[in-house]
Amino acid sequence: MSKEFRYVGGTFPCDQALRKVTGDLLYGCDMKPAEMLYAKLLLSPIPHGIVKRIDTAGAEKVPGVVKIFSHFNAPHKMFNSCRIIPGQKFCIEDEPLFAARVKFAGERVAAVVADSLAAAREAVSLLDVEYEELPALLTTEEALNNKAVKIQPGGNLADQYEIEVGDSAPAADCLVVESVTQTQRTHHAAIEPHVCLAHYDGSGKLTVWTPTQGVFGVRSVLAEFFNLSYSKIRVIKIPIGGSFGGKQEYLFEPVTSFMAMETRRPVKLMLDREECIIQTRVRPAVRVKIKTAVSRSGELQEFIADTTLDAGAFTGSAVDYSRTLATKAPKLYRIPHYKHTGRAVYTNTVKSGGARGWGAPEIITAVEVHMDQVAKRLQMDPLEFRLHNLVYPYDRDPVLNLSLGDARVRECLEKGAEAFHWKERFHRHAQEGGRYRRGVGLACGAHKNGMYGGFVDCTSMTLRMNEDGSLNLNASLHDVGCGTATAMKIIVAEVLDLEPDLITVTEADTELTGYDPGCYGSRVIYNVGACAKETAEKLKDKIMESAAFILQKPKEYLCMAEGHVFTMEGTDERRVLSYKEIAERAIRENYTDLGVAHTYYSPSNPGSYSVQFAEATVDTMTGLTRVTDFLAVGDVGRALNRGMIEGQFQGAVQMGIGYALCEEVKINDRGKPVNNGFKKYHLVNAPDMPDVKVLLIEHEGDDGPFGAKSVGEISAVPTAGAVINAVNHALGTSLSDMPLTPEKVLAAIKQTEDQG
Amino acid sequence: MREAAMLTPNNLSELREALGQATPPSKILAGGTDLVLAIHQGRCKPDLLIDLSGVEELKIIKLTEGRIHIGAMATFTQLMDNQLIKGSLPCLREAASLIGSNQIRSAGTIGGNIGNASPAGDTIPVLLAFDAVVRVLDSSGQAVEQSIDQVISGAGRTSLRRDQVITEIIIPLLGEHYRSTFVKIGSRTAVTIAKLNMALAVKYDETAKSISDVRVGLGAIGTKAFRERQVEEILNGRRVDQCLADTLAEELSAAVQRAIPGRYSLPYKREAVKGLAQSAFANLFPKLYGGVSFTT
Ligand SMILES: Cc1cc2nc3c(=O)[nH]c(=O)nc-3n(C[C@H](O)[C@H](O)[C@H](O)COP(=O)(O)OP(=O)(O)OC[C@H]3O[C@@H](n4cnc5c(N)ncnc54)[C@H](O)[C@@H]3O)c2cc1C
Repeated sequence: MSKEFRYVGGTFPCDQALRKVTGDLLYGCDMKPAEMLYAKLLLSPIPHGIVKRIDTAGAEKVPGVVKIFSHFNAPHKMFNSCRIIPGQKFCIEDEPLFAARVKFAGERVAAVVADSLAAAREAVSLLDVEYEELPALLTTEEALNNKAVKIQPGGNLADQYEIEVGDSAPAADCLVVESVTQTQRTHHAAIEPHVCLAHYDGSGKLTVWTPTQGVFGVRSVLAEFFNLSYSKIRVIKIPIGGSFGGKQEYLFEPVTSFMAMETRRPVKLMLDREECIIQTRVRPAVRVKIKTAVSRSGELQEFIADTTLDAGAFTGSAVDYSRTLATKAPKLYRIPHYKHTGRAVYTNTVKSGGARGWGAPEIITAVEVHMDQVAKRLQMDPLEFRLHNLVYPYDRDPVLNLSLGDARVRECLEKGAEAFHWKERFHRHAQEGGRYRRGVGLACGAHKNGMYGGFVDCTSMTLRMNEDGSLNLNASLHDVGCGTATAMKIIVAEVLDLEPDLITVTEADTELTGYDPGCYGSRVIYNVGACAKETAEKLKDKIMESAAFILQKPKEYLCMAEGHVFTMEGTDERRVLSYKEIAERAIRENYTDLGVAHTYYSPSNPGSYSVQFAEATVDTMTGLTRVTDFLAVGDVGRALNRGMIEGQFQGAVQMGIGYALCEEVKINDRGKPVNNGFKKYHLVNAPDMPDVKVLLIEHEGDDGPFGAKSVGEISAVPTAGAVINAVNHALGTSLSDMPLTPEKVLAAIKQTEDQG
Repeated sequence: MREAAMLTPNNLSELREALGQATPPSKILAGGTDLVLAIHQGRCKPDLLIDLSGVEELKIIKLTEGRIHIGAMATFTQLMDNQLIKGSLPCLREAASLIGSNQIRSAGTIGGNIGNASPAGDTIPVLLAFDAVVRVLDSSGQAVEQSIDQVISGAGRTSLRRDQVITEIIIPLLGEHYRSTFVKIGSRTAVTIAKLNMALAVKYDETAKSISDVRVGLGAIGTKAFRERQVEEILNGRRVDQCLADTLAEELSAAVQRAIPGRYSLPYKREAVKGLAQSAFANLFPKLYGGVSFTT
């Protein structure tokens, strides 16, 4: 932290913040081009069955209805909702526009397109569908055991794998600990419901406006699905009211485009909350079994995990997601012998999909709950036990065979423990009694920085200096609300030493901005940000060259500061040019504009880390639990926008507490989601939130811009583990069936009492 | 889609006229915090909405002849801020303060809480404990007083005819030796529908340190809130000590068992109601307790 920065490390509001709070920014739901039609979906009420007949007579009579779609008049071709490039591994195409055989309660059966939303709604309510019901497999166990019912043609096992590194040689007197953790389906709960607008114009061009995280993936899927040239499809990322991975997959772009192509009018599809909960995507439920062998002095000898992921009714991202579960623990702990077997299983339930952390919150919660059980058996402070085993900077990830980079998880743990007064509190709270019991818990988490080592990770942008010295950065950004656009401004502003406000950045538009696989996978700051930095450096060079030409001085004699280029001290006479002068004269006298284009390939993929500390207070009579204190420590490399990073951690903690204690999309024994609104699907709200303190550990050891690493996902990785460990500490229990509802907490208290 | 007509009468006589136009699907609109949702979700398709917001008489809270009259259109925020309620019916104030969020409390009304007839309505146990009566007006101008139990007939059902409206809730004041409290368990601290709620009122004899005229209103158990007379009897005349709190807890647990045998939620509610009992007791007799809670 020795370097002096002008903008890096300050606090800047996220792009468009003012327009968002004043209502000036237009979202998908506000867009209304001339002639626009409204689409409303009919969703399956049953989890498994054949759509035999749809009586549309009543619906057709509703004034304003333009067309009714279902599998009877739509292509039966399938797509995959997360495929970025054609032929992508693990991306089986098995999702239809409209189901001929519904595979979960909530799947698209039909749609009405009408002049008004009211007409579309009413017509949908008048559609009469005849289903032939089939037996539904609602759990992974049922799906694996029942060989007679096949959800997908190949059976119910979507994928299985085994990974093993190192040799098994645990010492004879090792302690062996086994645990089972069940994570649950959760809803992303972005405040903006899903929306998509599509128009197929007279020239045969399809334009799609969507709050997506990856326009080029959308374009690729649409082009292949409709057999259109990529150049005849334009996908525009519009403002997004939150995603958390829920809008990462292309859920409604194909179906909305299809309806627009059929009607030749702009068609908008907007979902409501219930539809978002029951038919978009959920964070998958995963059953995690872990068995470890640990020496008596606390060194991990062997770590064997087995995971079963509930994929829901088709493939989507489930295979990649399931395989990713095997890659997290080895980024966090030194494990001499590591083995992971895993499978993804189709069930007749709502489709699983990408969610903040992509597998890391699921597996890390299980790992950290397990580690506390081991520490307890060793009678060791959980902090000490982890220090025996956590990775060191520049260790190698044995599974992906990559360097972990400047991995500072140990520092996070040590500094955090000090700030949280861990040792005192861990020992003090254990002795407390009474109705309200307090406990503390900690958890460590690991995540990544982009796709390097596994998948395409390149990005292209252009940067131009305008005649007045201001800048336009043209990049395929998809700001999902976590400050991407502002971060790019800070980076460019730092390199070129000018006010961030003088920079305008674009968001993604396949017709106008450079290629980028999408803003997800914790790749944005580390890679897109690094591209912005190199692009700005390239422009800096060009500005210096122009100035050198104007001043007739070699570049080496010039320096740049505060929007000006100076001749260095010690040279004959001191001369100054403003950016404005340089840019103007470059055009006028040099016939050149100050613009550069750059493509960046990521060279590395270090780990990002977070260690979090929770205090939980449990009412032992009602089972209600509140998190009453919280500290999140982040190994962020370098804070670009400090306030925004703190916000990312605070938001992540809010999600993580809900994950630990209350959030769950519940499906009843007839396959129907039961808590399909915010009345019954509870998030942790403000009165139940603790004051979340954030401590950032900064080093500049990796390839991100100014050393910055990813934050948005890693911040959400260890939270649930810390909370669950705090509850278990308070009660002396070993709860691991998530979420820890009051019912489960009371049952566990009773059980420990009964055991004496 | 059919649109509903809307009438906004400006006084009680216009309200009577409006009631005369009501048909079976017609609805009375108070704060709309339940009704508007029901309309949006298609659970209710009214042809006519009689909007009470224009009738100022329905918003008044006053004391006459030892009875507090609360206009049906009094909002929860109004109940929380009103000095009369604060002084004489603290437990109604507590109940109002635990309903929904600021926004809901500013719009939602006590009349709507009864009209909605949810088993979990938070003011209902309080009104039961205080033997409140409801004044009901019809289109002919006739007004009758009915008990809460008469008006609320089941989960989401009332005995009100389509041309009837609740104009006020009347609560006879108990003497100054009474203490009362409202407690609630939801799935989180705020903006939560009760899984259990209870109003507890007692007459406390300072010298004998004993209670009498015990009133227990219990909600969110079964189809409608009720007075738990059996538990009241057991507590009457007992000396206040920790043992009595434990008795209340055990008896309430037994009451839950009697009320919802075999119900899925029974195992939890039977246990958690003990916590509710202890909290209620701690509120009534803070000196007896250390006053430990989540916030300490
Ligand atoms: C987010 C949220 C949180 C909530 N939290 C709580 C909570 O914590 N506790 C709780 O108890 N409730 C809660 N509610 C429910 C609701 O706010 C209450 O039931 C409220 O009292 C309803 O009053 P209202 O004025 O909005 O009634 P409305 O919605 O206008 O009406 C409700 C029903 O009562 C009828 N009605 C209204 N006034 C009269 C009258 N004067 N005479 C005859 N019939 C009438 C209407 O026709 C309708 O059927 C919550 C609701 C929401 C949306």
